[in-house]
Amino acid sequence: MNEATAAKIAALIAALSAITIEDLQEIKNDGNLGPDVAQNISDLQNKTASIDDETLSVWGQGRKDAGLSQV
Amino acid sequence: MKLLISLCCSLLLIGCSAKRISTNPTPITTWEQVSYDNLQISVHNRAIAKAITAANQAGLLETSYYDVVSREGINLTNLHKALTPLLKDEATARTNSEKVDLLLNQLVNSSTVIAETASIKNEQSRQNLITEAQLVRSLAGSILSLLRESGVITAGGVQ
Repeated sequence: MNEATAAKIAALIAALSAITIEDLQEIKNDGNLGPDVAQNISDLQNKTASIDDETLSVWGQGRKDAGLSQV
Repeated sequence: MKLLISLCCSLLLIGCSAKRISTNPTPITTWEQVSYDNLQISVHNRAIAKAITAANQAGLLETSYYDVVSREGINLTNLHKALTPLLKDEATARTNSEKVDLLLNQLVNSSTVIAETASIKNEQSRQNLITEAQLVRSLAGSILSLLRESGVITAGGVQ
């Protein structure tokens, strides 16, 4: 394996780890619920919808960058 | 010193169990747990999207594989977007129990496809992807169990 490839892989592993830690932090933050059950559920639902929209954006941009058609 | 180490280990173990909500002193309702698990699905699903896209941009994937897995990822996300509003409360979930059951099982199947077809040219990255996909599968299964326990879903099962 040449140095450029090794550097790519190291960067990718670091990126994957950072994503996981960041997402776990988000889970932990969202675990701090208050006493209002209806509000908690609403907040969780809104956050969920927002993250799903972000995910579709990630896929969409990724496909565009790869020269693939939009789904 | 040993006492300090034991205390630190205990605190770490308590923190690691935080995937189930444990910071609120009042009991967590079933529906809060369902909503929380459902949020976790979106978080781990987003991690899958970021990981695979980053791997593709780093040249670690064949474009043909990225085409297939991104289509599956988009499908999974759209399934989840359809599911979330049906879980807003028990009455809505009960009214749509068959659809909820179907969507959750489709989520399980879709995440299984992603886990089983992981084709990244780096073993650690591949294992990270498999872990995230398996977490999505497990969380969908957990929601199914919660809904069966509360009687919202009365038939079917995780495939």
